[in-house]
Amino acid sequence: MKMFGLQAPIFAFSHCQDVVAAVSKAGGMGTLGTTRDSVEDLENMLGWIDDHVDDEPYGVDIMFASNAPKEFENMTSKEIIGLVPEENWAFVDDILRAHDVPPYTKEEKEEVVETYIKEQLRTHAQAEARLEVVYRHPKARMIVSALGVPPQHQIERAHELDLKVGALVGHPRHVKYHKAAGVDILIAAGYEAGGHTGDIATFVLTPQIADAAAPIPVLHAGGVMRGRQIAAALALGAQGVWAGTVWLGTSEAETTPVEKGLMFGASSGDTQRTRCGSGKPVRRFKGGFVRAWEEKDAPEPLPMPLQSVLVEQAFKKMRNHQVEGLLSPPCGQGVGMMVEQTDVRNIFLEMLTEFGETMEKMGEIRDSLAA
Amino acid sequence: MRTQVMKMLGLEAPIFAFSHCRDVVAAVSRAGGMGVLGTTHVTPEQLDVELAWLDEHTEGKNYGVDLMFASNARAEFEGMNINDVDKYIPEAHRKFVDDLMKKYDVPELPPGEREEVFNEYMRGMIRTHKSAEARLEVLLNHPKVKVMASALGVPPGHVTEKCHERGLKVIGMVGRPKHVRRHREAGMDIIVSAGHEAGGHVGEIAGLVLTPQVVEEAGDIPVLHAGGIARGKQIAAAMALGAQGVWTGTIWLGTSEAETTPLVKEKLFAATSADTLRSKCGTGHPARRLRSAWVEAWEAEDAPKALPMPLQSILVNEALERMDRYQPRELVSYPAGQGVGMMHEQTDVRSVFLELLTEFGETMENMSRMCSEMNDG
Repeated sequence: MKMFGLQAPIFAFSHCQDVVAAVSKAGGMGTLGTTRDSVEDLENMLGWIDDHVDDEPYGVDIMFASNAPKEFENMTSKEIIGLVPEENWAFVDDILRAHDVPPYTKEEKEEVVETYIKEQLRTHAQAEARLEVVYRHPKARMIVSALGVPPQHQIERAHELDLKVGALVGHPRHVKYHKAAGVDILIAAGYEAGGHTGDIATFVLTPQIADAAAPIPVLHAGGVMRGRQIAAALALGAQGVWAGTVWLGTSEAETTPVEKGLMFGASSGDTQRTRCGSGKPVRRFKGGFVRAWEEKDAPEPLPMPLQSVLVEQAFKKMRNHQVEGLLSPPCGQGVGMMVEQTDVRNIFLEMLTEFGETMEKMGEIRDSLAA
Repeated sequence: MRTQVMKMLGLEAPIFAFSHCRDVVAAVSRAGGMGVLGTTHVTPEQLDVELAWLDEHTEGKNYGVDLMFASNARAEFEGMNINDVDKYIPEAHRKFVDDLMKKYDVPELPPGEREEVFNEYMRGMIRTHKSAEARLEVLLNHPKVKVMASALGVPPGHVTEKCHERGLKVIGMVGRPKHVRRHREAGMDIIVSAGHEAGGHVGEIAGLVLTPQVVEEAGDIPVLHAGGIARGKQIAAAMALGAQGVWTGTIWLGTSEAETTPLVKEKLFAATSADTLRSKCGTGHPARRLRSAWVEAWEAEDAPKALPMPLQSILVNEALERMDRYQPRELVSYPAGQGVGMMHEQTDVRSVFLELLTEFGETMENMSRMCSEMNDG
């Protein structure tokens, strides 16, 4: 908290600029996800945040998947598209058709996929182009690597510009690589978290990450929806929480009304880790798209970044058509505690209030046990 | 003052310890926690002997016994003899197990013992309600037993009534918030919220998300948090989530008192939190256990699907006995939770208990200090 002069130990991950600004203004640390937008869009979004965040700091989340192959950077879009087997294209088209969503024609698809490859393909080159944008926006005080150890030269550059560098980890043995690279803050991302996640649950993960990371501060990520969970995270040795899913139900969020409806109706058992969205395990709502990939005859998802090349065009179609039975947005197990739409400021206050109450109660329990 | 659960049972520490080993159970109860004996590995006659031993070794303290009331463990398989196995268990399954045993050179049981092992299992250990109730009769004869826990499923009404008449508290275990209602209606006195990270039979929802929801659903019924507890700071975290104590299991497997073999301990101490997985291979229900060639073979794509309870246990019982006896290095597994990544060397129950309590106390102090710092601005 002191590192960024925050009022509350709450870091919020969101793809939505409004959520990021609202959290930072409320005294937390909003952090913008950047995989869904082009470099130009990112420039505009950060400009917007700069104008709407007063003088508060915010962060930007970038992906540095360690196995995003270099060779993709020198390939044409057509060559990359050619790496996706025909039957996988057909499989994804069939999923859409099964839900009465017409897939793109061959020509349309080529155009959409080529644009995706040009603007968003998850390579280090794309990540570095995004960083250049971040460096031009001085209110951005933190970069976070959602996946993989950030490259050394970028950490050094960020430090020269007085930015802090964070990274998500899902296994205690990965901590040493981040430490050696000079990361300032680690985020223990548990099994229950939305998005890219490992299979170790936070209750077990956070204490081990905190021990391995010391003296580097650790945030706890996974399932955090309520203030009492912030207190639990602090008990486990974290210095704050990293929350994502909880903001998806706010009026500010980019989530569509249909997606929100699905989330408000979902229980904690209605999400699943699946490789169908990016090639790496991501926790998503168990909607029709996810379920189709679990069928016996479904192809194995392709490695990152090819799976995204294959499915992002389908996601675009799904966004346009909003078919309830098909949508499978990323979200964590905390979704079971999300029941109705509210706004960022309310959630923030509710979390802080319950956090404070829980801390008080812990004090009472301590006193009574000591007596 | 103590938490409601501690008062209910006269405990000095909010720690429940599940173990198949009577020495662990006795040591935990003596130390001020609640030892709870698992009973799926013993016949009712053997259980009577175990409980008599416990009565003498708990120094007047109370302890608990764990039974299983799986909702789909049907009675029709009771009374099976070894020759009926062919009728109920597909040949492909038997061949799969035999081939694995051969592949890893696991010796056969000595002549004559196959049938004995089978009959003993069927007589006393088959996972059906009838078998659980036979154990219940035994534990009701031991007045130091103050807790009856059901590790799987809601105990039938008459079982809960009988326990209550004798002054026992009944504990149910849930892995989903929506299951709480059934337990509440069945008159459970305590509900255990068992997270995905726990060893043994578990669901998919992680403890940090599950426990607050179970607490909410349970209303006045106190909740224990289960899953991954190996350190005192986790007890504090469980209390922050609204639990009144913790239910532990894996942490005791590494103690000198435990029933685990040296090889199992070696594997436990070497394992990280990512070295367990949920598999139906042991009982037909998903249970978390240490990774091994045995478990991974069942999880492989070409493996047969696990049979429903109680058939899967009947199928694998002999193989488990052989692995237990001959300890083939690659195959040996054991039920364990993700907390295993925090266990590194053998110690004893008393030390584990004290360490848990010490760190719990320190964490509560820290929290208290953080609270005043925040209030001071």
